Amino acid sequence: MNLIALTFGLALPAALAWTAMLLIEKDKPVLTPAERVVWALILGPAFFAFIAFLTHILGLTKLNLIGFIAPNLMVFFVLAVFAKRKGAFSAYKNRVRPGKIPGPVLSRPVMVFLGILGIWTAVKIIAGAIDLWSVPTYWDDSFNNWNMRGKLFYETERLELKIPNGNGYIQTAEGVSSYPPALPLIKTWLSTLRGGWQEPLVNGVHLVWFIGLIAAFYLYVLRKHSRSFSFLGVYMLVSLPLLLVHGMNPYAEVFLASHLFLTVISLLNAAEAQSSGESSAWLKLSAFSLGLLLFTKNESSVIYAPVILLLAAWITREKLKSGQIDRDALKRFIAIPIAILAAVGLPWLAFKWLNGLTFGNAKAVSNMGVGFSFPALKAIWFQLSSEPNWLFLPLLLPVILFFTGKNSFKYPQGLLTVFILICFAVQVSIFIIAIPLAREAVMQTGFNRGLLHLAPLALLLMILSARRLIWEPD
Amino acid sequence: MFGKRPFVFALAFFLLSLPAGAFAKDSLIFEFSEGKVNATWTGHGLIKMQKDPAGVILSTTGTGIFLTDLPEDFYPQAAEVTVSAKRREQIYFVWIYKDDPERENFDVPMTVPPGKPNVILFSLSDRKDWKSRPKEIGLALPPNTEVIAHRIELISWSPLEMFFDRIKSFWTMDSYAPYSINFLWGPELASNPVQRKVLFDSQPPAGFSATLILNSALLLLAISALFFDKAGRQRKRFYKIAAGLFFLFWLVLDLRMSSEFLSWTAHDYRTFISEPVNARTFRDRGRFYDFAEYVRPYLFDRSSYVFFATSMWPYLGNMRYLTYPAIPGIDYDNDDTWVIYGRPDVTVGTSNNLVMDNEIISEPGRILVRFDDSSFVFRTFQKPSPGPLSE
Repeated sequence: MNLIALTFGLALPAALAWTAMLLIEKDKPVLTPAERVVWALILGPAFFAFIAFLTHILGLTKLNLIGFIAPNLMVFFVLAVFAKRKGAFSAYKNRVRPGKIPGPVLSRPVMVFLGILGIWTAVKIIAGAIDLWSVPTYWDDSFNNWNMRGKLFYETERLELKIPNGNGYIQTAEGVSSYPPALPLIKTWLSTLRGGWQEPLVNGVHLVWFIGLIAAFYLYVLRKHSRSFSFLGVYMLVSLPLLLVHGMNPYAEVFLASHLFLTVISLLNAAEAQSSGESSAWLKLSAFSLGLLLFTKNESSVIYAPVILLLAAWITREKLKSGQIDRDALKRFIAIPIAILAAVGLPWLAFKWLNGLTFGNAKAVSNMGVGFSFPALKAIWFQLSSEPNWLFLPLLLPVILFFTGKNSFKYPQGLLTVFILICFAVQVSIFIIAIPLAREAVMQTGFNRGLLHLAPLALLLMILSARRLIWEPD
Repeated sequence: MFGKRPFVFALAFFLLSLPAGAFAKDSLIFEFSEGKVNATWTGHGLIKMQKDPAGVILSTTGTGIFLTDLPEDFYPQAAEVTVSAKRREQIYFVWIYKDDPERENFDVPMTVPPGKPNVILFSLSDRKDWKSRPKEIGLALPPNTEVIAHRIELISWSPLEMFFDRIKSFWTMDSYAPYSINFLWGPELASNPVQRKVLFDSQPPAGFSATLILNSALLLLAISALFFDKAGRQRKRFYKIAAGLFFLFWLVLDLRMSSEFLSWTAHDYRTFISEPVNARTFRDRGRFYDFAEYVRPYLFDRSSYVFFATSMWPYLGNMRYLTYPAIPGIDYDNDDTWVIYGRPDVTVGTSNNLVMDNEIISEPGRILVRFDDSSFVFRTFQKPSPGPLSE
């Protein structure tokens, strides 16, 4: 029953996001059919939760079966009608079929070796999935935040910001309620559909974002390189130990990481697109994904969104310079993505503001004392050099960027380098300067989880740069 | 031309030419049972030593130390202390350097649980304060402590044994712990079998990070690339070889870390998923989750209840989630339902009140359901606490 609830519970959100993306692309589809399905599975649940959230805070619905289904179905039909009118469905028939990138002819031992890596990767995912589906909620943030709030919404059918703590005390709105409610709302929806709070269901849904992230990673590399190279990338992604642990546990980091991955690769695709129509479609997809990213975790609005907007500005400047868009088309080129971002991203930020919810995670950024912490810096160095949370990624990425030299920063791939370097620098700075977070760095309770958001993008940069450095002519 | 044969011969010659001691484990054993005492021991401070068939009974009224000389030519890397006590006691393995005029005590704390003799193992060679200098060793007891010392074994391993142990320790896995969601210690190198056995028992682990060694090796490899001609074909060739080596290192560390992850899932399967409900345990939480499921039917019509567990973390937050909308707390005066988990010190007294440390802590009532000897639901006869949360 839980599996059936999960399947149906994800089908409607995925269909909703699929239609929304088709409408965004309109007559210029840029995603392949496989990509659109994977993206819909990743973005759908947050989009579905966003619509339920919006109608609920407007006082139109409760967080019950009708409150989830009715507004989402309505939005789905509206999007479908618009998509039909704009000819998106007929354009879909002429869908994108990127040419196959021929890879090197692989010898039999190499094929066998890749096969072994494939089996090894599958074993890890299957074992982790069985574990996730079968064990109770174990981790602090799961039972104090994500699952607790989901259960609270499920029981009360309201978006409660105060969690009862016992003895008449409550956990105030500045605490875990300052985290976006997307993930708890998804759990509430699945439980509402199932007719009861079921641990396998509310925890098992996290698999979707991990599998989705793996698939999105594979499909992005496949746009540029052969199947075997893309597969090697997937092997390396699943071999990142802390990412694997998070992928198989009910935490929010992979939920965020998968949204961030789609947002950034959309920007990269926009930068590399050969026509203004394609660039515009990718920018709009990135804006849609960014809007939903703001609804995943607070780091999105505080750290990632400003850097992403900076990169979008860089792309626009390059497009203007190259003549791909002219001054007349500029307004349209910028305005539509901004409108999409505002429509999806602003309601949550406004709600936060109006309800006095803090920016930052459970600790408000504005209230943090500031001072340099050498122990925090030492702890960060230790975590990067002496712990295998990311295998050799923290060493290999800077080494490869060093040998690639200026080319690492050249447009368009430089966008990814700049994004990762700025976000990494901001994260390190926050942990060594903000006093409460410095304690977290020393206790090892926060820093690595921040890096987890960047890890898939950092690995992508590493394998693409390494390939260019080693196999492509100077 | 000669194949692998010269290397095999060279390795065999190297191994055969090593002295026998290079492979040997060496022990120094101090016995304490009556008639078997094999060294001169002296007591310092307020300590009483009494012979017993099982060992020597050490009892203190103030701090006391029990010492003997360690032979100067023997440098042990680990110790195995066999000791017993009637109640839980905290004692120390202690050493004093003979050339230290201050006679400073260095120690390793040991907790002795009550009952039969316990073998307490610990490594010494990884401690900065354990030096190869003439010393006295022994046991230190705080005031009002009584233990029976049965045996002390000091162990030394050869360099070759320690080398193989370092390799073995690379494959020694950590367990799935609450910190595993934040970071992973990864492979740690232990210098002897005892250290390997207790590698992840302390935080941070007792060994040396193998990840740091591998990272350093790769960094050296990367630095050596700087010496290649920038434009030459040789450089590309070097890059390819370096990439191959990097990937090999990646595979090895992945094998180690993924094996650890799989060992966790296998452990969960063996101890929780495949076990019947009344026998299964879950990681460091024992039978807590089945307990919570078991008591839930007795809480559904209450908005709050009193909850006592072995510790506040992680049980209070976890219980709040599992039994919501009934909320656990410590509102002794208003709540009529008491949920007790793993507290043998909380019992029902003769007048039907809950009693803790001989003090009455609740109104009279009765046990509604018992999960095990120290876990149950108790309800007082007073007026019931409020029902579920209203809309």
